[in-house]
Amino acid sequence: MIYYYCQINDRGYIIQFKKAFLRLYVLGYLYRQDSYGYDLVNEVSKSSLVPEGNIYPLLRQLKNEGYVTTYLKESPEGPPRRYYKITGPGKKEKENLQEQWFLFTKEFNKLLLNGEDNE
Amino acid sequence: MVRIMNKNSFLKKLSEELRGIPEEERKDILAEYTEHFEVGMAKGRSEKEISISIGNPMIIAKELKALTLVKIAERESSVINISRAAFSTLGLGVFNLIFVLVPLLIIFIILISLFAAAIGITALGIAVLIAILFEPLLSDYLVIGMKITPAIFLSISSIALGILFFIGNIQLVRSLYKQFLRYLKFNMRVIGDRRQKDEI
Repeated sequence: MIYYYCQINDRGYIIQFKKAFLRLYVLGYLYRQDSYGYDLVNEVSKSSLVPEGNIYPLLRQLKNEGYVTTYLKESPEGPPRRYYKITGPGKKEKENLQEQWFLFTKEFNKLLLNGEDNE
Repeated sequence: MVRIMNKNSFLKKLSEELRGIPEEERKDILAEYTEHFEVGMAKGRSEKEISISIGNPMIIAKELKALTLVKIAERESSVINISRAAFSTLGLGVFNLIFVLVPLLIIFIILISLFAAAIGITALGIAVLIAILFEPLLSDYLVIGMKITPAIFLSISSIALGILFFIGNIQLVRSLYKQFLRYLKFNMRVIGDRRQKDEI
């Protein structure tokens, strides 16, 4: 499981953490409301944790996997927008990832703080 | 070196880099990025600002291309499709040369030897059968050192075994194809692009 979140590069840093996090973050956002690409990119860019450029490939991947669907909706300003909507399997995937995420951080925190407790 | 692009040069670059995927898919992707630019501009952001926030079209195209080719290989099974899908993922991560290409080559080599073995066993049976049938004519050239009944039995069982082996191999190809696609998808979920390496 840990492999899913982390891959260590030659300098010993965790590099894959962000990609898995972005997946969960986007599914979580769509869990609360339907959204369109620009809005999602904008939302993600508020946090320095996630690289914003990868949103569209990620959305496409989620669509291929059947976790989201799209529909077009007119907007008061600018062109019609392609909205993304989470599906049943998508909600399941989000809950699953979230559970794994919490489990992972809990275990990791335990490991990390263990040494400090003893001092 | 990073060159800041405006809307048109970004879309043009993306379109160029997406060559090799179906036209319909390419148009769909471009429409999505065009929409992103238009929404952003309607909100008063400049083209360059937006293009920076989307990222490098070359890197984006690589990922989108790999996604599309894997989808195609899933829909339509063929050696060409799976190879194209596999090769498209090579550019996604530094280690994919080892993680994707090596397993693919090993699978190919094993499958080719298994098929060769199946064909060899069948061919052996056929050769023995032909030898038995034409023995009266060929008796000057070859001598079958067996009685006729066991020889026929041997040839027919060898042909049957060869054919069964061949059918088994086809089943194996099907299941390996599915497994390998699943692996490619897993690989794409996990492997990031090279840029992330310098980011941290």
